[in-house]
Amino acid sequence: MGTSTSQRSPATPEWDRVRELYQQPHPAPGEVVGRIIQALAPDTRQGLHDRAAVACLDTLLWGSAAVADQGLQQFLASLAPVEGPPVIALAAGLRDAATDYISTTRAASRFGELAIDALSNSVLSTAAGEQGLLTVTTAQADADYGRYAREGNLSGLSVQFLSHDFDRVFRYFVSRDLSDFIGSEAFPTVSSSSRMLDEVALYCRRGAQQIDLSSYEDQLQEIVRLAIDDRVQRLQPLAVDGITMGLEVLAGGV
Amino acid sequence: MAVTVVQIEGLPPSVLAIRPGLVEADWQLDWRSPRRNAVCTLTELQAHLPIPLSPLAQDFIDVATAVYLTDIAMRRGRNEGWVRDLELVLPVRCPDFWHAVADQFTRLLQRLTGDNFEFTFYRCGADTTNNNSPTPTTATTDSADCVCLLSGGLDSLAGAVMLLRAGRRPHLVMHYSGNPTVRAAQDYVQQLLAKTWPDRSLFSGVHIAPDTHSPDALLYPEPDEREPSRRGRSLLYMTLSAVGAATAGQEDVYMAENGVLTAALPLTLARTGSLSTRSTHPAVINLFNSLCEQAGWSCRVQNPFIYQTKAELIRDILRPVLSPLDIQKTASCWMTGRANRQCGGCIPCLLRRIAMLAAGLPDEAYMMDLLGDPLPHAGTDAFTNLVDLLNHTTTILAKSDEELLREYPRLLDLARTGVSVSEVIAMLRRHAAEVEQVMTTHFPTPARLLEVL
Repeated sequence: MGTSTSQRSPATPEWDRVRELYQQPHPAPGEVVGRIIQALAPDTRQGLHDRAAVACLDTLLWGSAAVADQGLQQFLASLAPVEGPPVIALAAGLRDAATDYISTTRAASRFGELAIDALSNSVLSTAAGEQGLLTVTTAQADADYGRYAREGNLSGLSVQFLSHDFDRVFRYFVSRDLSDFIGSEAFPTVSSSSRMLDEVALYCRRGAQQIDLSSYEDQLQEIVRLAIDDRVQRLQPLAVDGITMGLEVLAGGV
Repeated sequence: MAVTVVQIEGLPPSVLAIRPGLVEADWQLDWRSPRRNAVCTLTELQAHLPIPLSPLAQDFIDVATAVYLTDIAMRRGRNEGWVRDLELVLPVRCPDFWHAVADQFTRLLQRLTGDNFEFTFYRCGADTTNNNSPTPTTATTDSADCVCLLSGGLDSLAGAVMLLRAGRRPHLVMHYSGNPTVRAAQDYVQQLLAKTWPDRSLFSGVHIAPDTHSPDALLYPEPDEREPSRRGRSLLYMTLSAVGAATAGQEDVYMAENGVLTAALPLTLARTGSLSTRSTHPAVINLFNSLCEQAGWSCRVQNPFIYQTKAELIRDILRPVLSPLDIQKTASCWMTGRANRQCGGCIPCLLRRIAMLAAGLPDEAYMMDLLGDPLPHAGTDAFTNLVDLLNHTTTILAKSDEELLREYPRLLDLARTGVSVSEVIAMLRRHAAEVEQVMTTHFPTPARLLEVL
């Protein structure tokens, strides 16, 4: 315990099988992720698409629709202005909006905390496009982020969110136990563990790209026009499907 | 399932008639009646104030005390069970105010603790002025021009010293610890400031804690059953200082903490959310200041050290006026409350030891020499703390500003508080360089883990 603390994964045979891999040099990220998926308790799986996580997905989609409707400059003004690069202001504003909603609806959770970070990274990746976060113009960020709503590809934006969410969720699972093995032959330095975490992140982001949510596109176009409580409620089935599909892909090897 | 906590003293009988189940709430809190299971002693603070506490100021202290005691009483679960659902039923003197700010207050507490809070406020049923409240005598706070929180730790000492060196006259407010080691550090710091700057500051100690010594005391968890994370305690500290400032008509309230702990980046993703404390995070402070504004108070809590590392506080603020021994008399250890010595393995101990050496002070003795000989501690929480700190150091030094924003999206929370994210990143880089330099110079095994030896 302390000002900063971490907790190891549960002491179950399934999680022990995950930890066995950390005793080997260069464990394959797919195998690590696959064993973690096998180790997840039912309520942990449920938690992956809890109300807080869905609220973060909603905020990402709603933001794109709002930018498409109002333009980024006006949307940023409505979020309460932040000085600095527009993508930073956008990501910070949407992060704040999701956090506020989660707080006032008392939906906070561990996976919600990770999903707030996934929301932020989704905004940073989609709105900055090929340009740098600190240099992208308002017009370019508007075009890159708003196009998901303008071009009827909110399902694609949902996949972007899931890819960042899986990235952070699985790095969270690995980080809980990996530190115990640093200094061993398998992970002699902290850099070796960082490389392992990077490989897990890449594996998850790549795998999530195989999730297909296009059948939800028409519904998504309707949902983003609703009031927030309705949006979150109606996004739940998509989140369940997306997470389920993602876990299947990641468990099967990418 | 939500856990219900009721501040039972002051709850009007009409409420208990409507909600008889409240007497069977998970926990009942009381710090006024003979059945009290907590103590709330404000004697020194109140004696120093020019006028009695207003009803709203008393509400602030009661509500913060209830949150503090609830935070201690309710154990967190492990992993995904860390986040708690808490319902508090509280009698207040100014229910209109609390109803108006309930959502904002919930947001503040969620950001601070990571938990879900729900409040039900009722108008007090009886006079509930603090029964140990002295009649204010001389308005001694007339001689003070600001309030500064003092904990017995190094950073808050630096805050007080900064103010005194600048010619300010702070009213120093301290929440007394029940732990003898921390209390000794608190007493030492208080005497040190009084001796070094005679008649320049005013001191008020406050004691708020669980206390079940009374034979009729309501139940409260035994010490070993209490939650050790204490993520909510800075609400109490901010409240005590703001109430003191508001009552004395002062505007500046200082809660000093170094930039690394203030930015509160998780060292790894396993420390996400409130696993990493946000006790002085600017988003939390801003929300608290907004509450003060709505209360009609002109005081504002501020942390002057968001852009400074702990080593910089020692080198630039403390060392020019205090001896190494004086600085070493402060207490930083998170585990001191449990072990009565600085443990050497918690994050505050690691940061303190590194900061002392980086600032050129002598090394200190700890219960475990984790930095000198870490590998025998593999598999312990202490070892995890060290390697996670080293991992974080590597990340901060290796990545560009843009990559750090993606790795630590929590930095974005600073962007909406008026804090310069680029200056915070620069401070984090200086800190990471201090860690690397101290490992290279003093501790070969961690240096090898960092690949700098």
